Amino acid sequence: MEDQNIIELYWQRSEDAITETKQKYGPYCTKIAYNILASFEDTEECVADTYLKLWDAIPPARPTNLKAYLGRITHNLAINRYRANSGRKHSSLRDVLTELQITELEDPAEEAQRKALADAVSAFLFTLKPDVRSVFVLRYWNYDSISVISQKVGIREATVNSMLYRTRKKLKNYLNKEDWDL
Amino acid sequence: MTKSDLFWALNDMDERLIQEANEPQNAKASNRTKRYLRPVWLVAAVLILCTAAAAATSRLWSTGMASLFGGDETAQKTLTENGMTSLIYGAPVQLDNGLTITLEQVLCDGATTTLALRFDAPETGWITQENQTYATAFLGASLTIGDEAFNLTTWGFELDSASETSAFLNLSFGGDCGALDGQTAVLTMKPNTAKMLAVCEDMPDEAEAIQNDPLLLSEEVSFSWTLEMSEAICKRLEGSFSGEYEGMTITVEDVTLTPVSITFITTEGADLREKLYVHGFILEDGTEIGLSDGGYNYFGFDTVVEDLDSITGIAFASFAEAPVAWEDATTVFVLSLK
Repeated sequence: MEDQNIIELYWQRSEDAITETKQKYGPYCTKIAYNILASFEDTEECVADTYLKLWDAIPPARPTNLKAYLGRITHNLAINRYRANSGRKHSSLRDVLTELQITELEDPAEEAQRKALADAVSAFLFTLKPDVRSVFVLRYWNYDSISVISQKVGIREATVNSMLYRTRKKLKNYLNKEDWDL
Repeated sequence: MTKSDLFWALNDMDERLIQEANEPQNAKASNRTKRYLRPVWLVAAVLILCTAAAAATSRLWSTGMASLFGGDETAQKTLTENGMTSLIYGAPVQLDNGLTITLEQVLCDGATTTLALRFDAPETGWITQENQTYATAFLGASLTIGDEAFNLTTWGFELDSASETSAFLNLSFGGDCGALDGQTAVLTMKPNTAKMLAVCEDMPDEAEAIQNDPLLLSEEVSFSWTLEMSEAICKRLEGSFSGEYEGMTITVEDVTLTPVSITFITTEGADLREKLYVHGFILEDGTEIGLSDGGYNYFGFDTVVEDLDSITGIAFASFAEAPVAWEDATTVFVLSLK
């Protein structure tokens, strides 16, 4: 079913909306949550919460891209759950945090500052070539493993690692130039 | 701001970026390009080998082949010897599990210093995936030199595809190496450190192999080297090489070769740096060495070249699309050195 039709079902408050969402985007949401939580039980609960959250959000929301909208909800719910968990498993997110040299995930900064930095990061990413950008986003937003990225993008794992390393370095330089002291 | 803030910024990145990365047709774009260009790559690869072999015996032949690829001039250059400051490491350290670690090379150009850690596992070899040279990282290892601290988990390894028992890790930081003379380098590896970070969830066979990896450490180890200054020989290519690329003349100049590295290069315009790539070296016997992953590299890279005199040429490639691999090359320039 087309996304617009699914969104229409939400507006009509039809429970088929959730069934259709599950069918079309269930695996996508599951992958996002599992990359963060590395637990099937937690992932299942997180994805179920995602559908509820979407049910509550539409209406009044009318997302232009349902997949991205849904992905972000799953992502945020999974991150919250990850932070609340005391016994964290070795997830792909943990590898990403290590790569970013983050030992403990602190609370986000206040909204305006957080948004300004996010805008700067996005602006930097838009300057990259599409392939490089996709690899970076798949790693640092989707938290896909290197091998999964390699398969998705169709390049060798060594090249993925190489791309990520150089892009991290470029991002660091870019933010330094923009007076972000990280 | 903290590093966590960067995490939250990535978390909040523009939705269009997420959408783009998760569209299968975008992700696979490079594959399509590769398929279309494969015949070009095959022809280019064969011709490069021909060029390399010819370069050893005939300057005229080499020049002619390079022109065929689009380079309007292949200059004949002379290598001269210059002294270059370098640092030599301490003796290799062997761990109980058979792993030998060496702080093998330090190279500096006055602005950047590069260290190379070499990890040899002669008895067991390293875990590889489907014959790929595999860049990966160690868990929980760190190296400090003076005030510089490196968390090795975040650095990519390159496996020596020829032996599959040696892995290299290059670390770079700003500053001249002179300041490192007499400094102590300390490498600390935590239990379970010596382990390749294959992605277990997607590769159960590799995961099992890692669990049984005899290189896993049972306890933390730490050892140190004292860095000493030494003089190393390098060779500098005098003059420059020019070629035509998309109507622009590109210039490659100031090529410096050392036993561990080639450093250079200037071109017209920064954009060219992402379009024109160094492929590697061509040796006297016609073989090529260079980039282990096939080409995704910016100008200036490090590779091991033991015998400088054996290098007869350097191959450059240009790309019509976003460069991903050497196979995508559309134009090849060959710089003949002898």
